[in-house]
Amino acid sequence: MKRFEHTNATSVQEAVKLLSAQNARALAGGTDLLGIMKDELLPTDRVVNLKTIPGLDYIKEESGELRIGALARLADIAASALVGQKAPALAQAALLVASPQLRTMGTLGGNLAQKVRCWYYRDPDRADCYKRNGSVCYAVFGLSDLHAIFDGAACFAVQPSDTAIALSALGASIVVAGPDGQRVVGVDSFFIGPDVDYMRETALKRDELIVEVRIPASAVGQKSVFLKAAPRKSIDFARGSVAVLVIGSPVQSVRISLGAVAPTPKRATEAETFLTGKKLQADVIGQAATLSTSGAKPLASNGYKVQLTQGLVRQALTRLAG
Amino acid sequence: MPEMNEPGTPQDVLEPQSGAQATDSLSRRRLVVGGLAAVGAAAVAAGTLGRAATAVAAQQPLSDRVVVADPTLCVGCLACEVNCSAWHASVGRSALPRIRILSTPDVKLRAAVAAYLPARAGNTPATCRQCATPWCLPNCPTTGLRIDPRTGNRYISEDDCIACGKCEVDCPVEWQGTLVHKAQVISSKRVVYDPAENVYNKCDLCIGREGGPICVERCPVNLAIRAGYIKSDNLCLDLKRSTEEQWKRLV
Repeated sequence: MKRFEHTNATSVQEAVKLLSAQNARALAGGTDLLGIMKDELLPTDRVVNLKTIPGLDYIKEESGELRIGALARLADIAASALVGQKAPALAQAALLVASPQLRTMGTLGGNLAQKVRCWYYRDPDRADCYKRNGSVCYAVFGLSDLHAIFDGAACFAVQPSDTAIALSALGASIVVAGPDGQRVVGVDSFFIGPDVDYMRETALKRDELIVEVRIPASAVGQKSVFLKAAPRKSIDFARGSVAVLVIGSPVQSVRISLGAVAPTPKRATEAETFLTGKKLQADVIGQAATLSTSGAKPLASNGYKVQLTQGLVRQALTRLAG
Repeated sequence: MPEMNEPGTPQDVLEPQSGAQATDSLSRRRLVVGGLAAVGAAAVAAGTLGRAATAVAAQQPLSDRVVVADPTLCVGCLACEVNCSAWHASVGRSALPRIRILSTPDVKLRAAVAAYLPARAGNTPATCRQCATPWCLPNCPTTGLRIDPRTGNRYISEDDCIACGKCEVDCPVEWQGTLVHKAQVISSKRVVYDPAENVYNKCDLCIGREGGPICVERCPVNLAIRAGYIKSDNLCLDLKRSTEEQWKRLV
């Protein structure tokens, strides 16, 4: 590993200042950053430790919203009675991330800001792909098992974060701190596709950091669920996932967010429209599941994700109906 | 916008590849001031060109290159659109993609490509046709629309474009239908207004870029063909001399 400077930020403002240096990276739990540094995927001359900023790991209810500090550990979110009752999809997603050890170290902010897991992107011995400022995507004519079936554009790597999918269904907002102060970004705008910038996954600028995640009052206390499909019961990134938030029966409003199928959380808008005004009965659920993958365009080896996603949507809606 | 170069790297400048100064490029203004005589009658494509302007247009050198697409090889990966946008943004030009992939469900994939990616047929790349008669040029009131004397490249010098839109009126080629990108409906000429930069943009063959048009260089199907794992006599995106004959064959 190359030499780097390690600095402890004691406030958000100080962290923002420290992050403005060239090749400065934010360090929370470090469960993604350390691996990236060891593989030299992103040049890192300075590491800005955020764990020394006090008071960013809260989980609280305020003004009807659920507000979670970016440094809250995934294990604490998973174990939180408040989150479990008021935003179950998020608690379920946090519990399914990685493994117990990683959930103890990993933070919500870090989970949302992590880099993709595409095996070509992550291979340090390979000539740079687009996301590494290179000139090719290997997945289009290579092994695409883990890649996108929707919305690929030059890059086909998927958004790997489980909590991102849950927050997308919950209609959350992300509070970002930067040199000009704080801004609140809706989850639909926070994650950006490769058509916007294939070298980034989020709207975060180089010298910005996530400070808080907010779940709106309209979602707090409503029924929601998160399901994840992966080869092993622990540790794996999702091969497919789904988060659903449903309000009312007959359905007044529903948000279905699909994971591991697109470079950003993918909303199944046709299925959502279909379900609105209906009761969650088996035949309705079945049709919604089929609609959830309309427009999918698989690559060579990820066609299985179409059926997998439909199955997850069916199971998720069935759980919410019960 | 993605940072194509590390900070401190010199950015490409908008100069013809011969190194000639930009003012050597043929613009309408220079041609009229130079008093070139009208030569014969030429077909008026868009109907908005006066006879003098038509004559001016008819004398121009052909572009030695135009981007030519084979839809039966295109898998709609959008690498061309995204790279076009990113490269132009990195050299300070309009980031609207200048090549677009139209969704054309009836277009089948060549067997060699369908063998890999059967679910990705139905795509048609389309861009500026570098018309043999450059209809967009004569009514440009500034030195925005230019022709590179060495290559015949019809391009817009975006620093000089005043976004009057006359090139758009005269352009005889459209994008009509639905794009692969987000299934957006498109109905426009292939020279298009970019509100973010307040200029018109069109394919400029990546003028100033070593290696030429980035879409041709980075198309994954092209890479697969060059590497030999897709067998094809032609590329998905290629560069051909822009004659009248070629123009008729273009999408």
